[in-house]
Amino acid sequence: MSGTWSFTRGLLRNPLGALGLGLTLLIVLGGLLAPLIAPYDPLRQDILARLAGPSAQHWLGTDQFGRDVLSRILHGIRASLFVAGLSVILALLVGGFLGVSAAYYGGLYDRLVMRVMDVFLAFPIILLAIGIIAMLGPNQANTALAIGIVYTPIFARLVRGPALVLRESEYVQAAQALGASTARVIARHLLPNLASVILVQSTLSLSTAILVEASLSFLGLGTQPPTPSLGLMLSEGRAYLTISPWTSVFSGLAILLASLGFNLLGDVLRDTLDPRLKGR
Amino acid sequence: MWIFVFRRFLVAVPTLLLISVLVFAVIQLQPGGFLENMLEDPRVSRETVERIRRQYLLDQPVWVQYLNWLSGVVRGDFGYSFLNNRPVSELIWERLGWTVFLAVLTIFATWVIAIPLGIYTALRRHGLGATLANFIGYFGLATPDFLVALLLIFAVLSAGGTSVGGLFSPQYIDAPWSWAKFVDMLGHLWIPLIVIGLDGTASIMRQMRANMLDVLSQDYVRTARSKGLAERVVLWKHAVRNAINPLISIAGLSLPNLISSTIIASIVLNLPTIGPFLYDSLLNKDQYVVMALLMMSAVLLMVGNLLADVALAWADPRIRYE
Repeated sequence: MSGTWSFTRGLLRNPLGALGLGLTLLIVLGGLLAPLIAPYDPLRQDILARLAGPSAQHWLGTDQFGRDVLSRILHGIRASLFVAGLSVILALLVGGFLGVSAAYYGGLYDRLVMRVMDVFLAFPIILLAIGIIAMLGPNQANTALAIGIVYTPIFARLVRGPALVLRESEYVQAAQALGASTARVIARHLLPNLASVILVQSTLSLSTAILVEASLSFLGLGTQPPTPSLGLMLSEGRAYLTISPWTSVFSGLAILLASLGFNLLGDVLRDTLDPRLKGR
Repeated sequence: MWIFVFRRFLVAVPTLLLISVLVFAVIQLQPGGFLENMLEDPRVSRETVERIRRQYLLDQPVWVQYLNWLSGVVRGDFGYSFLNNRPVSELIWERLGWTVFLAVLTIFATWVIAIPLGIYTALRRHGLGATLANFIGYFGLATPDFLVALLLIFAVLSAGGTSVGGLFSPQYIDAPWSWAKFVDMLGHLWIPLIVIGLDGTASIMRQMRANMLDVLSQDYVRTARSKGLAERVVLWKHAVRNAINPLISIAGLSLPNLISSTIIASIVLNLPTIGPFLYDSLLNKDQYVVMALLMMSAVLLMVGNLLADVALAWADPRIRYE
């Protein structure tokens, strides 16, 4: 426990780390507690108060149907975190499994898995995601699946390198010599040593997954209306940009802060966890 | 060197074949298709669709279709766009010019801005300017490009501008090239440049900074300093030359982004590039267009990697063609 505390303190001593952690907490709490803290129902329309600017009743103004922008943003963050989180977990599980097993078993299996991963990496992220969604049909679950598939090779590649080194390390060979099962070697000796790499990459991936989700929703391929979604709000607000920029600007700002928070946090985590960078 | 290029070319062929199978399989697995969707139109009879199907051999077994497509691709015939009723290669040619122009310009601008900034922020690590540049870099990475586009559009409209988006004002779109048209284009070009380039500039700047910091703490830099070389020489001949190498090797990966990075920016800004074309084709399941563009993307990646390797060997004498 004291280790966790000193780790957190180290994180907070870096101003960027403190900012990243703060933003991340703010976004995650805002998203999780959205149903409790949102001042209005995100779908409730108030036709008389359309496209209003920020006021005491509506802190961030209202959209073209008179819906409260703050409430919609909070629920939008929730949706965005759900999709981004799910996709990163999926990529982590599948990619992590493929990468570690490829490193562990080596040989033809390794070459085959990594070649397939390379083929996936040959396509730009957004292109592959759009392609998968065009195949599966646009909705939240498919967006998560698409982003997850796109990120899988990144995780597979990421863990394979260190796992190869670990496989040859003396303590892993000692464990094998003592007759530990493959599952035990992987779970007890490989995974704990890969934890920091995985943690850093997951945080950074969340940051970009939020952007990809927003882009897909912006194009109409992610979350479908009337469910609140940050990318969709930004896109819908486009038509009213000159009369009432609030919807677009604030939802765009929410995307930016969410992505920025995870990005800063991931970067500072990497600096803190990587002993080679200590004292820089 | 030519032997090296030739050998790389030979290795690329099976990989491309594998990718072509994958691309074809993915398209086949897609439920429905453009022709199926055509049937929803009451003016289109089943006979018409069947005739089109026969004409393009789509009634044949899958492997016949694949071989037919592949032999077409090798001969430069990418098939037919059902959505646009025109050959795919014609459609791509029309958009290729502007796509390459915008992409090359963006990549160039990105490097010219990002590399010096990366060096600067590494040298003045704790200075105000560097901290500021770093922070802007973080924002650059976290800002979605469509938000940048909207903010710029909003700013131009608020400042009294009327024609935002596109590459020309309406009166110049079909006009022949002239000095006035060129100036008009420059007035439009900066918005897409910022929108497409911001993200890349931020990430290259950060990588260059990290590489520089890495290199500056190396022994050979200390040795170079201690033998009394001018700081300028230490910096440019010893530090920068080594720090830039990793960037060259990943630069090749950015070539396929020629197609994809402009998708969203082009839709928002209404640019005549391949991006929106690909987007429409994907959504409408215009299979030959999608397959052609996906293959193009894969080929660009291979070419990009090859160019990067050649450039790296040129920049770094330690690396020889193996």
